[in-house]
Amino acid sequence: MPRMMLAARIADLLGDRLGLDPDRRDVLAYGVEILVSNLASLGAALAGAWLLGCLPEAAAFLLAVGLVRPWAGGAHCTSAARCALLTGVTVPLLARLAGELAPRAVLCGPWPLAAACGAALVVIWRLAPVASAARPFFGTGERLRFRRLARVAAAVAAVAVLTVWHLDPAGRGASLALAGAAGLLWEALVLSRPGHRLVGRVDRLLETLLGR
Amino acid sequence: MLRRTGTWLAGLLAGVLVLVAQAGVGPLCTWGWYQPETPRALRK
Repeated sequence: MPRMMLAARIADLLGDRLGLDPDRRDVLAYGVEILVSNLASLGAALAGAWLLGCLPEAAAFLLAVGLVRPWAGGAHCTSAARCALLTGVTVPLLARLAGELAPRAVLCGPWPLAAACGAALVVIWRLAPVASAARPFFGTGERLRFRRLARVAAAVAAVAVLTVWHLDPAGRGASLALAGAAGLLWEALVLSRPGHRLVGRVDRLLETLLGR
Repeated sequence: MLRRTGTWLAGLLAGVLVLVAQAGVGPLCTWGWYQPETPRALRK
């Protein structure tokens, strides 16, 4: 997969100045890609959430995903720009939905929320970790290590979601807990085969509409 | 003097980027929905 143009350019500038070989330049370009893609996605998600007036819910969603995803893996877009676009649309929409559903969810009690967390936990427990071609497993022990970490992280996130609900079900706790549960469900979805197909289709559609 | 400062700054930025790259290759994927190709030098 070729590096993004900005990353290759910065790596070449630094490489020329410091006299680095191609392998070391590639490490620098990778570092730029990691920084730019994550900041762009985070920025897009928070900007969208700010526009929709659901920043705390978006933060809860991102915290739940951010806790599990580094160890569980899952589906990816094939460019940082499409990733930022997808994140900037899905996270604010799901966070807003959590905020809208919260008053009704309070009437149902904690059981639907617990069921949602339980369903996400079962999927993550069974499917994680899911590696990608860009970042495969290195060595046999790594898969087991990531499986353990993903399971622990998902359990911690689920307990945190239920605790937040328990602390303040009549106030903001309900919407924050729903947003956290939505993050866990979203992560469970992108681990599954249908989730990979969905992200792949959206990625191709955006590529068709917006170009590479 | 200016050239030496430029090289020093380039070295500093390169060091930061290497640290970011090493942190990025530790987990299975970074936070976002895009995963850059792991460089050959960082494949363990």
